[in-house]
Amino acid sequence: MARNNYLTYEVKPRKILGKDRWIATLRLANRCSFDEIAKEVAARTSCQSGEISGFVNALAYEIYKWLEIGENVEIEGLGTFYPKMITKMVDNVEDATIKNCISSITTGFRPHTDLKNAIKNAGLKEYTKAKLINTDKEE
Amino acid sequence: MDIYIVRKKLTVGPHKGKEYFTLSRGPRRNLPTGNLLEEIENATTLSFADGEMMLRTLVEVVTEKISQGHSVDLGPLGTIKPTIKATSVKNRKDCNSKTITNRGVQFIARAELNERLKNMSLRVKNSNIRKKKAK
Repeated sequence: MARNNYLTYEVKPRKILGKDRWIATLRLANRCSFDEIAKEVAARTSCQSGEISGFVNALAYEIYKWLEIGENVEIEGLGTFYPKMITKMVDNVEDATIKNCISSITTGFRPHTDLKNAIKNAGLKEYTKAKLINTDKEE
Repeated sequence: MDIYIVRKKLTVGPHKGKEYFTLSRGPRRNLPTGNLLEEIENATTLSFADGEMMLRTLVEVVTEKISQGHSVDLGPLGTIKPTIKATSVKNRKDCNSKTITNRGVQFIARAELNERLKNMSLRVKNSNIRKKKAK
């Protein structure tokens, strides 16, 4: 695992059930735009970033198509996309209709084991203001 | 999409043991990556091998970025980002990496994708439960 693969957390005060507590929250690094990702993939392959964008668009089109007919779509190494139904329960079988039972349908995602392991194996680093004067500690 | 009526029994809470009915998609097989790449090969000028190589590299880059704590924009699909779950503590000095109990990934789909799923056609298929009642 590369040394720079780590997640940064920040300790914040929170009021939980009326009590003052401290909790670690994730501090996200910069957002990687789609263009940046396409450029990075292009740099590692023999393709142009435009070709990568085109491929991702084609991939998204296929994923949309399969999800719309209710199928799960697996991207190896990344995870599985599926239509996620939020349902309600009813007492009688006669009442189990689409209108009564389905609250919403959204896109669900189950991450692949490789992706989960990559995150589990990443280091953890606490964010402190002391970081600015070179006294950060890595755990 | 075909959906089925299912019977569920509550296992916890004040209504433990009570039976309820709801709708479910039922068990589904995942559409494998290979099939997806074949579809892309048929629809575009990309070869299967090129698509496979691009997808593998894309997954590699995304995994790397997520494990570095970045949120990643997947264009027309949505955004994917790392998440953590932690337990709260009373004293500031006790709050460290050991209080982090779980690390995961969150996917936020593009509004367009969720909108399309909202408008999908649903059909309740006859289930065994319905048949039993009819008899």
